[in-house]
Amino acid sequence: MIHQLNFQKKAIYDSLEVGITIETILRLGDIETICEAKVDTGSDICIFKREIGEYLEIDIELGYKKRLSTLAGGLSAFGHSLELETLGLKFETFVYFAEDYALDRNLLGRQGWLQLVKIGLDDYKNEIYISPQDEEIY
Amino acid sequence: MTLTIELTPEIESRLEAEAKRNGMSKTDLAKNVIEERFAPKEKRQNHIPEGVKPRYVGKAKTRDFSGDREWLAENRNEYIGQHVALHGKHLIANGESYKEVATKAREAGFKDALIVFVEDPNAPPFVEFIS
Repeated sequence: MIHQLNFQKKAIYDSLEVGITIETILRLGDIETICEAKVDTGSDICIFKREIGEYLEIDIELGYKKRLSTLAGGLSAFGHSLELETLGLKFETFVYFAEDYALDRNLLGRQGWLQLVKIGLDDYKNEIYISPQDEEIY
Repeated sequence: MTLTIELTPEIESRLEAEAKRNGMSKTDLAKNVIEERFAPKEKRQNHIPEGVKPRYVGKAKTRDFSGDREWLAENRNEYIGQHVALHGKHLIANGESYKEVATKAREAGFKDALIVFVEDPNAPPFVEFIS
């Protein structure tokens, strides 16, 4: 049996970057910033560098605190609601900012991003396909 | 069931510090961690607070980042370990910290600069899972 998925958008990601890296816009009120984030299907959440939250003038410690585990040990992070934009799709969502400054990569994980989209990957060609979840394809 | 666990002094001190920060005993914190780790899938903690419902808002017109990527491909090696603010094929600012570089770019009139931390392409392979 053949299964077919249709997507609204296709983008090419940079093969020179570490991981599958896409431009990501974070916006809170009038402030926005464009950073890079790695698509990480193994991550339960979306997490960004603390400095990015500070740039958005978020009081990091007022967020929803979570202790997280990683392959390299544990870390604490604080969750905040904001607007996130990836590959031309905009979401009102919930992401975490690391408590420490040491986190050096931003990750787009399941809750807050992957569960809101449907994605297809052709890593050989550096292609990513994306649609919002449950959205009709035009 | 009662468990007795031998911890290294380093782990014990980290457990103690985290328990103190959360206002709970070391035993309760360890119990929480184990319960969360082994809970049935449907009972695992949601990482988003109750009442917060992430949703798709709509399409957005994002600028083309191909020039930024071209610049990175050509100049990456000179800026390893730094943050750079890019707009098209132009470097707007560079420095150690994200905040400093993003602020410089905004003050220079580039609110839509792409801020990139330039990683060393020869660094060990990237592996990351967060739960």
